[in-house]
Amino acid sequence: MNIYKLKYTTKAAAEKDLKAKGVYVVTDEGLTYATGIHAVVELGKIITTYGTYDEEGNELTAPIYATGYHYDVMCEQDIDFGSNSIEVTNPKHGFLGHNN
Amino acid sequence: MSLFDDASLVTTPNGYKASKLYSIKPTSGLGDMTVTRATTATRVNSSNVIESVAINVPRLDYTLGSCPSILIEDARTNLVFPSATLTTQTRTVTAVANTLSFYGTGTIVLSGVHTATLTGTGANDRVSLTFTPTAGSLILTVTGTVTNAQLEAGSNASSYIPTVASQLQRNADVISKTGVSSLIGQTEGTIFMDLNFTNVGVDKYIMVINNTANTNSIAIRRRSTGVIRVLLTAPGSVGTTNESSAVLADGNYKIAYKYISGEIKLFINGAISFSLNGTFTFGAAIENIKLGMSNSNSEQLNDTIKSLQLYTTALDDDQCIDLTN
Repeated sequence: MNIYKLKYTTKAAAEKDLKAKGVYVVTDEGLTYATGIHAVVELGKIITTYGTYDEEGNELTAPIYATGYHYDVMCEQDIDFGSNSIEVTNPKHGFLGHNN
Repeated sequence: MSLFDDASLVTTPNGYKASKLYSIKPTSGLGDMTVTRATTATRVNSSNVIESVAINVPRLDYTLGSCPSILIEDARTNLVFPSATLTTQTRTVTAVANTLSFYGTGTIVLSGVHTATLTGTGANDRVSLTFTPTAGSLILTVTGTVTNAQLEAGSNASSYIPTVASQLQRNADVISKTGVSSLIGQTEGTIFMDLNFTNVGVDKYIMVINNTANTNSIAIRRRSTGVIRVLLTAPGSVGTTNESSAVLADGNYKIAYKYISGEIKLFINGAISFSLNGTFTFGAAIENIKLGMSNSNSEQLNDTIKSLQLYTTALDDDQCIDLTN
């Protein structure tokens, strides 16, 4: 099983690449996983430092985001995502029973 | 002869191994279900303890009592960590139904994009709260003992997903069988299921039998309105019947759906639920079984199944009543 950590500039760019790489396929039922794809997790913008809020929920300091728009893909096949595939040392998301 | 003798397929929470859920009938192995779940997961075992279940292993869960049931859930991610003993934290949520759950006697106060309080009732009791926040940062302020905590997008608390240092996803349970047209009634038949029914306000699939193209099928769903709805699609003749039961309360139900051209009936717990006289002919071999999910391996039941039985004949009404009593 392969787990890819992916980073794109935008969600639109990600969806375009995921379709181009055969992760997503378009069927009568809409956008679905291709054969061999077990999970596509849209993490989106990742917060590196959470904002702070008062007791009523008003923002005191804004959250700080990492650059890019992020996905995790779990699949059986090898896929070359090129420079969109990244290594992370402090993952914000993982799959139960897997190390990354 | 008993009804068991007449069944072409009997699947119960019995024997299993990785990637397989054995069926009692047929004994040839033809009806053994294929199980896929590319992550580990947890279940409540016979000692009432939450334990990890390996990748691709079906989950025989004892939450409802001393007899196991097959637990079938969709993919979920536990957003809070570490879950074993929760501490105060802030997490990003989206504007969909989210469910917070935990064991223990502590309290979680939610603030930020949603305001609420969830208070525990005991070390062995799981409490839960389903809410729809606005998108953004949800602050969870923890006091007291909060163990096995889980915050997940979804309208029910799913099985526990233990986290340590990051959010973790449990993949969906996918239980199916292909190429078993000999076990499925092609012109007539009966589908029996014993399952737990918990209305979580969204549509979920109980089971589907179909051809590979899914142009001919019988799909049994649990609708968001609390009814069981059966869709029979047979475009080779009249077409489609789509009929619902009355609204059902949460609980355990035995259902039998018999189908033969001119007579289609659903029985629930020993009583007839609906009866139709539409005619139909399947235009292709019905050869696949999807247990607790849709044809596209999604919309999992998020509940438990005790038994699936298929018959290649339409049982008579008295037999269906006996079967579901």
